Amino acid sequence: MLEIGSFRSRACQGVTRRSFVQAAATVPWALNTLAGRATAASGQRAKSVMMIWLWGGPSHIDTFDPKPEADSHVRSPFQSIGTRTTGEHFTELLPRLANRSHHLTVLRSCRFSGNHDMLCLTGSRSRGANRDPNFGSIVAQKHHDSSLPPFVSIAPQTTLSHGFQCISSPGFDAGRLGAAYNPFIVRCSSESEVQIPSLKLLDGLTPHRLSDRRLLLNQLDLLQRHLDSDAINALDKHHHNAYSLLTSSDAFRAFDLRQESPRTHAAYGKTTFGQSMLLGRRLVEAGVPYVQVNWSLGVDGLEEGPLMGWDTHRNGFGQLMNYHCPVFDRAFSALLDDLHERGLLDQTLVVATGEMGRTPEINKIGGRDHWATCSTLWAGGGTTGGRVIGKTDRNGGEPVSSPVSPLMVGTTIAEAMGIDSQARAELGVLRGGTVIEGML
Amino acid sequence: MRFCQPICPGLLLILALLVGVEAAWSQEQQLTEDGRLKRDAAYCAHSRCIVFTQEDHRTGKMRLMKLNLEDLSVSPFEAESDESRREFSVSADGNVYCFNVVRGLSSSIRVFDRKASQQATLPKMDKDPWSNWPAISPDGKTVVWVEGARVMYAYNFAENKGRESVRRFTAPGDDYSDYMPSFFPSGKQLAFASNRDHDFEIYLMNSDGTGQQRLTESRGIDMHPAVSPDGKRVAFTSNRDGNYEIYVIDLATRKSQRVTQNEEVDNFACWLPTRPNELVYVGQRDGKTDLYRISLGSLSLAAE
Repeated sequence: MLEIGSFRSRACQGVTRRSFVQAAATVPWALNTLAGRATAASGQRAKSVMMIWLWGGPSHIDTFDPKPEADSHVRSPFQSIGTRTTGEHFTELLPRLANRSHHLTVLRSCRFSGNHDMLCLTGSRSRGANRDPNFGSIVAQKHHDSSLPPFVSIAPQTTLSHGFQCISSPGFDAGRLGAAYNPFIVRCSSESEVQIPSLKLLDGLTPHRLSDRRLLLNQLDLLQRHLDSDAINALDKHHHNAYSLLTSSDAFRAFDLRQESPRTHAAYGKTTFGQSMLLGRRLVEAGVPYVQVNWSLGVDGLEEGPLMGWDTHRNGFGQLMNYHCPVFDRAFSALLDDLHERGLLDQTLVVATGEMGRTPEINKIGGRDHWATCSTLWAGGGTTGGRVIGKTDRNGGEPVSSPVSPLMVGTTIAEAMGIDSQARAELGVLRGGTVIEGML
Repeated sequence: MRFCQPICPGLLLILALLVGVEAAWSQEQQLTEDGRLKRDAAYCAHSRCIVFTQEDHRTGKMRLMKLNLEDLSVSPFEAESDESRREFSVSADGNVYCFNVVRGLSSSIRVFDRKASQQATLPKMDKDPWSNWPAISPDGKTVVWVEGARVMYAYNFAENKGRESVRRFTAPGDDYSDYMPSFFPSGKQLAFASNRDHDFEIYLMNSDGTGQQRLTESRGIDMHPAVSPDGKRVAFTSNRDGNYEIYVIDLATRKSQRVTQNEEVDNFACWLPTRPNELVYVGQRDGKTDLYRISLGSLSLAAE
């Protein structure tokens, strides 16, 4: 089900210009025309990026960097298993991904901050109005030629009662690049329901009525007549783009998970993350340049479902083996299969990461605490699968090869999308960043 | 004519074997159909239903639901709450039950006695605000639970005097966790999962915490033990064959056998006291998570 709700902002003469401007501003790419359209730079290896954001910080030792020879207070209780890549092991919690390692580059020498920050989404610690943009906003600034939004962030439909949320925190947005490049937020549920909060514009604009394009256009014409002519002229391009999603059946269909077969739904699993990954695949297939799939709304690893992040201090092993890893293993494996079978993997760069790893030492409450060293997964889009880049020490504490920083992650993503050093300098983003050696 | 050619005896034998295998697995009966995320199945004699945990897709919270085994209808076990509730455990007569409550950043155990209209929230014994995996004794007088994924405590609910009614059950391990306790029907023993010998195995102990011994020994994860109504077998989850399946081990022979076989996850087995040769469990099929029931008629757990 695709849900477009209502948005009330009416004066006695009808819809006000102010409300229309507000509505347009909530549809970020609607304002992109002000900045002009940029052309893709040469050297672009990927057409799209899927950033799989595992907020909370997955334990690298219990997933993609097992240390069976580590000290007993470090060693994972989970066995390491062989993968399709010679010499590469995952833990037993990820059997499906182990069987698809030929698609994956496992980057084991990441060294992030060790805190719940957004370094790995922006590459820097900048704050305030001048803060650095999310990588997706950088891509959006350079690739916004489609009727679809250039940067979509998919989040669970539910709300958190505590903590910060991934759809409203600095680091998830465009920062100093401006609101035009903020992510277009979509909410998804385990029931394959998709909500588009930004398009809750008009009373009575139901999915059924949206399917009647003539009726929809009449409504939009009515809206225009309530605005003065100057406003129409000024907002014409914005208007066109803001409602292009609504009026383009092709674009709109990209958000409709009902178009998928039961078999495909099943492959991803009936979980919020699984269906979010499927929606992400639909969006890159439709041409969205950057999709961020958010595992959870927050970091805390407390209760199963879309409220549970990867911050598994407590009861961590129980959570990893009962919830996180089975859900992740299934959905990420399905994504790789799906992209590969559709011929999309080569043109889609998939990156799965959290903001950090977890301590080598097992704590006293059945989990691991915050730690800067971590592993990230890369696939498709200019990378070569079946590889491991980097290495950590015997206990998984520190990289023994050149550490990879969040800035390097962002720079590599930008480079894959054809945003070269000159383009980055012109935008004033990812300054000093270098491409991860051997990744592209 | 190609279709008139006789089928070779070998092929017939293979077909017969395949039919036999199919017949064995067809004993699995699907009990729910919504496919939503589930866990923690437990039989409640009071309402003759299976109580389980299910994700509420609207709120993201986990809710206790009940499955009527007669008509397979599913309904909420209790009124909707703004907190997650899970890990239901119930006494033999169904009158005393407990569950884990997650609210904000803390988790606690609540116990209810239907007959006495008595309830308790178990006291916090450690600094860490995390309590889970409650198990209630068959007589409803004792609740064992895990605090901080580390130490098991027992609460005398019959006494119900807060911290005065608590005793430590297991010693804290430096780098291991004890999980998922489950009482024997006699109330004299428990089974539980632990990684004290490195990977997760099933262990047994007496109800005073003594006599701890390892029951399973396999490469991989063994977890979620559930003791059979006659106290002679333990069902548990294991990935020893590559993914999570339900197994049953005979306590006398220590011989175990897999009872589910599927490429997807099977977990959280519980026994049906009214049908002591059947298990209900949480299974995933085609990406959907539902409750299933299987008969153990053909198990071979005798000593060789």
